[in-house]
Formats: sequence, structure tokens, C-alpha cells
Amino acid sequence: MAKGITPVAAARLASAADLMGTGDQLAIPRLEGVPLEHLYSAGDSAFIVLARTLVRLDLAAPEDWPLAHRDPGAYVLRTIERWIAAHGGGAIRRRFDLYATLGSNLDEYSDKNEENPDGTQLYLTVDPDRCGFVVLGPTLEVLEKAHPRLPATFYSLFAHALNVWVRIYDFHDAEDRVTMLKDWIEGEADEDQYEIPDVERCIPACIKGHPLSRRELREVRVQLGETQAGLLVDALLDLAGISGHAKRPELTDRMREELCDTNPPLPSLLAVFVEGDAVEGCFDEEGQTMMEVTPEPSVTLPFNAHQPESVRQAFRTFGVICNTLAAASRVIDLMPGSERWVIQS
Amino acid sequence: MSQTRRKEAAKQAVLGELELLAGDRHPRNQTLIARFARCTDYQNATKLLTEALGATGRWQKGSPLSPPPGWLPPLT
Repeated sequence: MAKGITPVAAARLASAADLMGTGDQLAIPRLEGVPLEHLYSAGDSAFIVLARTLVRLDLAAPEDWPLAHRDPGAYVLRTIERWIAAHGGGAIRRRFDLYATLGSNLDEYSDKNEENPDGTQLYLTVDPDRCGFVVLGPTLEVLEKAHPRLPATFYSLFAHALNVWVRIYDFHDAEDRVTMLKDWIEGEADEDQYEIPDVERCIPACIKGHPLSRRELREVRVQLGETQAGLLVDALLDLAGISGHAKRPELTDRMREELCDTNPPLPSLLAVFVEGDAVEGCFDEEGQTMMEVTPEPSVTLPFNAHQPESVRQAFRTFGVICNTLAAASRVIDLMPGSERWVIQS
Repeated sequence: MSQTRRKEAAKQAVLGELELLAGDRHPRNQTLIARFARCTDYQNATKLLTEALGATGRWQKGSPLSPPPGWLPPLT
């Protein structure tokens, strides 16, 4: 680090070379016998209870305990990370930018929040950090060539499977925004001066048809063989099946009370037909106010750390959410042109 | 020992440590610094002692006591 520099020392003072370590290293000075790190636990009774339940349920790995420096909070977070990795974490990160939070309250500013929660009421929430992006147009064209009702079927199943767990911003949201804008300006003197995005015109006709039932879709799938459309339908059926493996938990009265002043959840995926279309325009406009008030989490899983069945159920549902997002990522991977919108490869 | 038994033993060891933490009996919570960090009486007493030592330094005629063998001289 200090090669070629001659140390200069004043009389009776140690030179810098005597005091500093040599080589490309940084040594932390320490007193012999005095540990460099002190760790103690206080105010983490909820984490201790949850860690105990997770170990008993075999959801937490004992080998993670020393890696978490025997800290119950770090151990629980490691267990959640392990759970995400085992349920398609890598695939999820390709197309979504989400984070999970474990906490004892949904409104961090509430004066009812406990200082040292005992773990009887915990929440595992999922929120987007950034919005994923998908351009549907080329995929709908491929599917329409294969069967005229496939585009509507594809989007209906894709959007429903994801919307159960996270929010997609699509042409329905854009249409709602246009309706709202029209209501706002109705009757104003300079009504003609406003530019309203033409969402209706950007929606392809093929998506407005009646979707196939699952049985009909399976019959069509047989005829598609190993084509691009066939592979898309396989991935879609996989996604639809996985999404239905769990039911979204109902909001309790307490949760409703905590979330009463929140905005709608932030979208985890923006689905447009063509890059820069009216749907994207509406999203850009609406996005400017989405964070004005704290948004509601995309999904909230409440559980009681003292009750093993409650913890097991929350983790099971969380696993289904992760698997659904991973399956959606795999569908998007198959969409033509989607290689441009990878978030993390 | 079979893998299953080894895993069960590791699991029981983690549960044992968590039990100690739950009862505030874990050795790492019994160190001097851990007790100091949690005990406000301990912290207040230390503050009083520090202030007293500071006041001692201002006594012109006083001479500081030597620290017990093995102790570092008090710093204020």
C-alpha cells in the first residue's frame, strides 16, 4: 500500500512504518484478551419465539444458526431467504424486483405499535421495489396465429394468476384512469384543452374475445405441438395451476384498521401492448402520485409465532406466492422480445 | 451417528440455545458489557463515577488515587 515511501520519524517517536501494518491489509488494533465483538439479545422475544417454532417445524436449518451468529433475528431472516431460494428466488429476480418484510405492524407510524412485540401477531409482507415490465404485443400475435382465442385466454389466465398475489398495472387500470380523468374535466370550460390517452385504441382486438376454458385450452394445446405457442401455453398452464395452490388470506379487522389510510398496492408488473403506448403513458402519469401516501403491501400474511400451524400456513402460502412469481417469470422468458426487460440475470 | 440423529442433535442444540435466550440465561447475555448495556442503574452509576472522577481532577490540592493492579488509569 505504501511501497516506495520512506518513513520519516521525529526523534523518540515511532515511525509510521512501525505503527502501520505492512502489505495490502488492514489490521484492526485490539487489546489482548478483549473480544472485538459483543453480541447480546434484548427486545427480540418475537424473533426468539418464531425461531423456535421454525426449528420445531423443520422450516429453519440448524446449520444456519452459527452462520447467523446465534442471533434469532438474523436466523429468522436467513430462514426466509432460504425459503425464497427454494421456491424459485433466482427466477423471480429475473423479472420482478420485490422484497419481503417481517414485522409486528403494518403501519409503522401507528402509536399503537408495541415496543417489544411478543410474536402473537406478526406479518410477512411482499412489496415491489421497482415495477417489472412486459410487452405483450408480439406474444399476442404469435398466439393469434395459432388459435384466434388464444390471446384473450393467455392474458386472462396470466393476469389472474398474478393478480391474486401482486398487482399488475395493465389496460384495465389505464381505462379506469381515463374514466377518472374524464369525470374530472367534465363540464369544465376548457374541456377540449385536456389530452386524454387513447387507451381504447391501443387494445388489440384479439384480446377482447371470449377466453377458452381450461379444458378447451388443453385440447388446443394438443394441436400446437412443440411450437412457440405450445411452449407458452405449457408455461401458462403451469402458472395458473401453481397460483391456485393457496388462497389469499382475508384481511382481519385489525389489519383493515392499520391499512385504512394507505394507497393501493404498488404494481409489481407493468403490462403494455407496445412500448410507449397509452397504457404506459397512463402508468407514467399515475406513478407520480402512487407514493404520496404509504401504499398497502401487495400481500400480507398474518400469523402467530406461538402457533406452529399458523406459522406453517403462512410459510406455505409464502412458498406458493414465490412459486407463482417464478412461474410467471418463466412465462415472460418465453415471450418474444422479453430478453430486453430482464431485471437481474 | 446417522445423519438423521446428527440433524436431530443439531436441532436440539439450537432449541436449547433459544430456550436460554428466551429465559435471558444465555451466556452471551451474562457478560459484563451485555449487563451494562441493559441495566440503566449500572449506566447511571457509571455516569456518576465518571463525573466524580472529573471533579477530582479539578481539585488543585488533591492527588489521584492509583488504580488497582492490572487496571487502566481512569480517563475522563
